[in-house]
Amino acid sequence: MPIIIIDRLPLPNFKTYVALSVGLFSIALYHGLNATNDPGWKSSLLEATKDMNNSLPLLSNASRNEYFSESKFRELVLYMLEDSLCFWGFINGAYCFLVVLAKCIQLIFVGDLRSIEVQHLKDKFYTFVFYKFIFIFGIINVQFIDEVLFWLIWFSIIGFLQLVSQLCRDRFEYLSQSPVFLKWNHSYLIALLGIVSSISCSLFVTCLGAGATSNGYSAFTFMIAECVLLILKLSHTIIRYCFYLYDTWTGLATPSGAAGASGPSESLWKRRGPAAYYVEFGFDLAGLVIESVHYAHMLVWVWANMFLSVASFMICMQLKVLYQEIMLKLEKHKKYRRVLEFMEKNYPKATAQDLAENSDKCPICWEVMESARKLPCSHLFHSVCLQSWLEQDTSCPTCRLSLNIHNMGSSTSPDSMDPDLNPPRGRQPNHFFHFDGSRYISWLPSFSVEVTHGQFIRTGELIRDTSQLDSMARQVQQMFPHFPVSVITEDLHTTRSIELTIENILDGTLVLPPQLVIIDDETPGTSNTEGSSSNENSSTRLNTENQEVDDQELVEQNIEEKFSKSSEDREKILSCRRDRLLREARRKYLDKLAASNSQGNSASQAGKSDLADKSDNLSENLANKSSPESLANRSDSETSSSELNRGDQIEC
Amino acid sequence: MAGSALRRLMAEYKQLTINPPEGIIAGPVNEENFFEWEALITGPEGTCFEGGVFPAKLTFPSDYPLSPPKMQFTCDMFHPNKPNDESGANVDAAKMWREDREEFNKKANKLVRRTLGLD
Ligand SMILES: [Zn+2]
Ligand SMILES: [Zn+2]
Repeated sequence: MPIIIIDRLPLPNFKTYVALSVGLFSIALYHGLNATNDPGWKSSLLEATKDMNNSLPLLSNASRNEYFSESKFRELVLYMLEDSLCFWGFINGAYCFLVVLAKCIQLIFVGDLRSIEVQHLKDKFYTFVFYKFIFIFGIINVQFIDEVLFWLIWFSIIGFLQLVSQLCRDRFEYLSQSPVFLKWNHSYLIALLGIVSSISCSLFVTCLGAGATSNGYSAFTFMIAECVLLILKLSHTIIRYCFYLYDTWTGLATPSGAAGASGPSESLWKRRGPAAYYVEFGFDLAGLVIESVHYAHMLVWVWANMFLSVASFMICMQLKVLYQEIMLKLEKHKKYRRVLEFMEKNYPKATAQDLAENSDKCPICWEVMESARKLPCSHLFHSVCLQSWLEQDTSCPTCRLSLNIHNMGSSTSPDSMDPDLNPPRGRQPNHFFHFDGSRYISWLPSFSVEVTHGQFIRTGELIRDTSQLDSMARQVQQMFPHFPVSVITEDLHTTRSIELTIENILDGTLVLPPQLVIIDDETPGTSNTEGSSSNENSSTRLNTENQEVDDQELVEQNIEEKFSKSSEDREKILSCRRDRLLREARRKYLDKLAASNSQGNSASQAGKSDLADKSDNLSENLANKSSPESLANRSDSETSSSELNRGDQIEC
Repeated sequence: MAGSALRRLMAEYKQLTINPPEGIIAGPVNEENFFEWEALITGPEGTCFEGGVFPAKLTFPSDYPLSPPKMQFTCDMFHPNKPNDESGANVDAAKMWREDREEFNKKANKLVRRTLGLD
């Protein structure tokens, strides 16, 4: 559904609105009472009015209603429906009640809203109001005020439920991204989901019943469709929730154990993989289809009543969008099936020997592999992981070997090969996508798409020829004189952009794929070797070889201790480490500044080699100075057993 | 899918904590949202950014590691390649880098000092 974004409507703030509404409602009520009290109006409400006048502002909605006997109340309502001031006061009062209710739900069940949730709610609200306005006045073409009132009430209820279910979904997604299971937040959310679902279901049943008994067949079909959509959405969230809870219960989603997890988790997840996919696919498709039918029904309704307007045009647009979405979903599904087929046909299951020989973790999800598929390059992956990878990429995740997967579907239709529909995502610098259209249909063009790594920066300049490459390398080298041109050129060959190479250098990882700089250390060992080799390039090193060996040992001893199981401790330790890094950098900088000052002003213009020598000296000084302290820190951390204490010690 | 991404992120966080790469500290500052990390990256030695500690924000997609994370420096960054505002690369910085190297280095140095909280 296209979203209509109205950025800023001058909405009054909550308290003012409530106060104004209560005031307006009181005035309307007072006016109504006065008027019905008039002898011209049928009945006598003397005693009631007396009481009312005294206690009117103090009474709440509910108790006020209790004040009236059945007949008096009906009279009042009748009058209020006639009189326009009363009518709008009444309507506004009802909306105010809804707003208060929403506020209560928010306070009780979800707490503070996050900005993305607010954004979703706003978008949804405005879209909803817009389309329902069109529906009421363009399609149903209501003539009478009571009809308007009826639809207004209906859409208020359904819209309210929709917004709440949207909020539930957003909140669920947010909570499921947390590594800790927040018991109370989850129970409140589940309670809210339960309440909303039961209300929706009863609404559905009511509509069904009313539709069956009444003559206004079509109107009720609209209402039932709305209910079904709402229920579909809610049950989607609930089923996802069930998956999540199931995972959590079986210890899957508690990632504290993930790194060392073993055993049944893998097969469990693998079993769930396709199921989860089909649930998503089924719900998405069903929702879209029902919505299309809903809109098509509207169109038929409009035509049947010989009532053509802008509204029918809007519906057609909407139908077109829905159709496109459905086609996209189906296309994606086809691709899913195709990849699955291709994978099962071409990549055999890894044998037990393969599994034993290779490292036992899947490079994609970093979890233990009990069964795996083997690529031609003899890299192993979980079936599920490989599947989702191949849906968006056609090379081996580990070694980038091109897998020729775009040739796989000679039996499939050409348009599914259209790179517009499934653009290769640029996650690695040397990804090449070739589309040979003439192989399918003669008039289709052939072209190659080269995807430069474009994650951190939007576009990289493409290289035309080698001379350009050379000049680019020189440019980079001007900036980073200590890097040899050959290294830069080599990197430029893969990145094909000055920007990206500079980025790589700045990140200190010229040899690694840039986007995985910080996170993609294949094995525990690599990050260390990587770090030390780049250190050797630059001439300054804090630690001597011996100390590094010591560090290594200490680190290994602390491995399990250092990564706390409690999220609170982890946060604390992280912030300590950040502080320490900053402190050390500051000290280093100041020391260096002092050193260069003492060497006189001429030093600042000294050549690069001088600088390097200087920093060598400096770093030795620093190493001498800093090592006792850091060692002391470490021995502290060794001796203390409690993790919380250790965190404190790191800080101090 | 979010579950597996979460597990992978947790594993990586563990890896980074146990075996931190030189000069980089990264992790979720608030674990309520595990898909948003903050990183501290020290300026590479031998460059004009040497010594600085540059904070950056990493945002992971829910299908991580299939989609790559997004990274953005949260400090003022004066570098030809670090966008200021939303206009892609920093044109001013690139120009200055080409035309007035001394001024550029001065500015970089200032930035380094600022990231260290010295100014
Ligand atoms: Zn896997
Ligand atoms: Zn491979």
